[in-house]
Amino acid sequence: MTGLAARTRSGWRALIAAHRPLAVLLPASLLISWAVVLVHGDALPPPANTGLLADVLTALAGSPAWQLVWWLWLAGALVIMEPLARRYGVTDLAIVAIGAVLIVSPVSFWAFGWAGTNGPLIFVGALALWLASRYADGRGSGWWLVLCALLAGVLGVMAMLAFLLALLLLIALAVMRREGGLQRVGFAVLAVLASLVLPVLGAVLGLGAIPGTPPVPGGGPLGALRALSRLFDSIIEVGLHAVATSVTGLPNAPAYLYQPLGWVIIAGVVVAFLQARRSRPEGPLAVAVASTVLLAGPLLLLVLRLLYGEWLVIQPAGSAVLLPAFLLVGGTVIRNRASAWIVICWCGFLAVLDVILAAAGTR
Amino acid sequence: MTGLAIRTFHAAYADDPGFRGLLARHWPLLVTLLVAAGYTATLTLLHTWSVSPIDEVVYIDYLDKLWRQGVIHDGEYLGELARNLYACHGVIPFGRMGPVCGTDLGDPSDFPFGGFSSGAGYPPVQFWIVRVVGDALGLIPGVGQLAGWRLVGTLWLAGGLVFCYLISRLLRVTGWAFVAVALAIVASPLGYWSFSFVSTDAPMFFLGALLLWLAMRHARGARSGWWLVAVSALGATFKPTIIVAVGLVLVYLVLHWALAPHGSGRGVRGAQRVRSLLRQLWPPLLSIVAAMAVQFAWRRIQTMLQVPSETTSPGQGVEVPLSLDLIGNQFTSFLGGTIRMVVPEAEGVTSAFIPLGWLVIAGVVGAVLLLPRVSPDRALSISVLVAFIVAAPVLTLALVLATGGIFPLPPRYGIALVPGMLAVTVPLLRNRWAVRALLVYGVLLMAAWIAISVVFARWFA
Repeated sequence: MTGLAARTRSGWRALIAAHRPLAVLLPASLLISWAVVLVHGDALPPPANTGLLADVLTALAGSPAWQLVWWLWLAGALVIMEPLARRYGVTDLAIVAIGAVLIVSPVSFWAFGWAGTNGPLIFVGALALWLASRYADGRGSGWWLVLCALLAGVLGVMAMLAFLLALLLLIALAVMRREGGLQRVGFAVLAVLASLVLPVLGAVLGLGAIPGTPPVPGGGPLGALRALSRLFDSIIEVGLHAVATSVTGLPNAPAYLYQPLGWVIIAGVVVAFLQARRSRPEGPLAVAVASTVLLAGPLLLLVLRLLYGEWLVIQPAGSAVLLPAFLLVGGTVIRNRASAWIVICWCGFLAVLDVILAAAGTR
Repeated sequence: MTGLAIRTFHAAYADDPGFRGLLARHWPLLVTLLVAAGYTATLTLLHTWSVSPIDEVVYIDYLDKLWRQGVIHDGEYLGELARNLYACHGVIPFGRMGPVCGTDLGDPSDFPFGGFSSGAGYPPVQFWIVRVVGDALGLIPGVGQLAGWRLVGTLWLAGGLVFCYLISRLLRVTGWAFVAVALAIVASPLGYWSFSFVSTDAPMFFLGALLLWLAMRHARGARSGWWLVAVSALGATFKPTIIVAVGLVLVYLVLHWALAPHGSGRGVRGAQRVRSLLRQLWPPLLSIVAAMAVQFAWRRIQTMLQVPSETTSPGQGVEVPLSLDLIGNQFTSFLGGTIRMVVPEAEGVTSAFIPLGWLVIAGVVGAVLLLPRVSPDRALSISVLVAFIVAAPVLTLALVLATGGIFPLPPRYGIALVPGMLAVTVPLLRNRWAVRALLVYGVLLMAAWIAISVVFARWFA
């Protein structure tokens, strides 16, 4: 018995030693996420849910039990991001830094403080990237990516962005490293299409909320020039800008305190692209993420136009699905301990602020 | 193909002492100057008599009255030319203001801000330069006096770019990366409003670049610190915002001293270190004192030159009470907004410039995140980040102390820090495709500004 206890203890120690970033991030995320859930009121509505489950999740959003359970999506995303980040050469301290940003970002404030579609979307963002990276390394089957995409479609059309990124990553690997080739890219295309199956079904059956609003109140046709302008604006409305400038939106909340998180995200994505090299492990990922920043908005807008017959202004909240990818490339450019510690300390400060805001600003 | 041609040319003529050698060695600067000057001069010549919304009418009024009265007095009304510009030509993009063109323009209270000039805060030094040089440029056939004054902005830009290039040479990074980042700055909204109209921000770009270059040379023991003091004092005769560049220089020199190896002997750690710190620090400290003394002296002169007016100035309507939120917002003002802020914000136009904000954030923050991997000068990377974050709140507090009033500082007040941003961003561009993408983006923005200028010229014709 004593031997078993000792073996168990040493097993735990070994596990913690192997996953030091998670040993810090998981308890911290549980503490902060649950603190927010337990102290917040319901004076302000959380971001609107999308997809076939929108109505169900909106009904559950107010239930404290479900809100507590929603931390599991955050924990799942963190668990996936650790090996993923290591695969792209991110140091353990930088993993803690990007994980901390994920935990305290204004996107997560709503995504894991209430039971909505954004929590699972963030998880899907991390999972799709993990599956694509494993597939690119020759481990695992492409069918997992397709299956995951099919199921993720239940969260709405925004889930497509995660698989678009996976597709661009596999294309970047094929072009930059001559790795993979047509078969892998073919599976990724299939995954993108699979992610659209349930949203198409929802649109046909009239189920689920539309992830956007008409640019002209009441709807109506746009001229060719306005439609072109919408496509152009969607580059900014979806993805990097939407995630990096997100705020809690609570009355009297100091939005400028969250802006440094946006700087880290923007600097990570842009600098990773500026530095991208064929020879570096993170090179194809940096190019894929940068391409996603450019293509996600227009492609999503075109898909929504096909599904709903309107040029919409896309809700920025759904861009949360790309947050894990943005943070991951951000981790690859954090090259010194001082910067990582500054990010971690600032996140610690914001964690306290998150809880205070939840208590004071949502009642 | 172009890259190959340039490499071949460089290899063949790099040692040539003549013009071809100059071209081979400094082609990034020459390409940048050619495109930047051609672009801003084209914009200037496309402009009509309609004025920029960034107080151009005040500056034109100053220039118009310069030889007659020397300075603008506190409490003085805008003159006839300025009122005519308001009423008959308008302010881009807002349109005509004040009484209907052709009617009586004599009542100043019919004009924005009660018809008062806000030019009294500026010493006349920069206006002497603009007037002398601009009048000469105006003599070129087809240019005219107003375009001549506006073309001085192109010269401030060119001067600033030369010193930005010299800074990049000190860091041993130039090439297409320099061209791409420099042209992105030129093609920004900041570039449009500052370098193609009469603007007091344009010389701040030049002086910011000059000060940073002098500081880097001083840190390397290659130039006397007195130059820093002299240029800072000169800058203070232009605009108080020069203080942000002087602050950058101070932080840079402190960090450069702190991060430099100082030897290991006990003596070296004691008195010699203090001496080396003082040797490094006296120029920026004296520069700050000089800049503040110049501004203080001008405030006294301004008070002495005050003239009585029949009406009370309503101010510009931008003053706000000092608050924690105001200071807090200023911490993020320069980093995200300096080169991308659009006047006015408009759907479809604003989005086009948001990537410029990304470039500044990526360059300034990324240079520190990547340390020590990409570090031609670690002190520079850290000091530029510190300056971009801290300068605006410090300037806000300084203005409160100096004038008693405050307004949210426009991000363009950080223009003197832009050369620092360029210096830390250029070394980050290691990906050829990124450089090409940035070049294409810059060229597209330039084309858009030229098209917008044509539209403005037609609207206000």
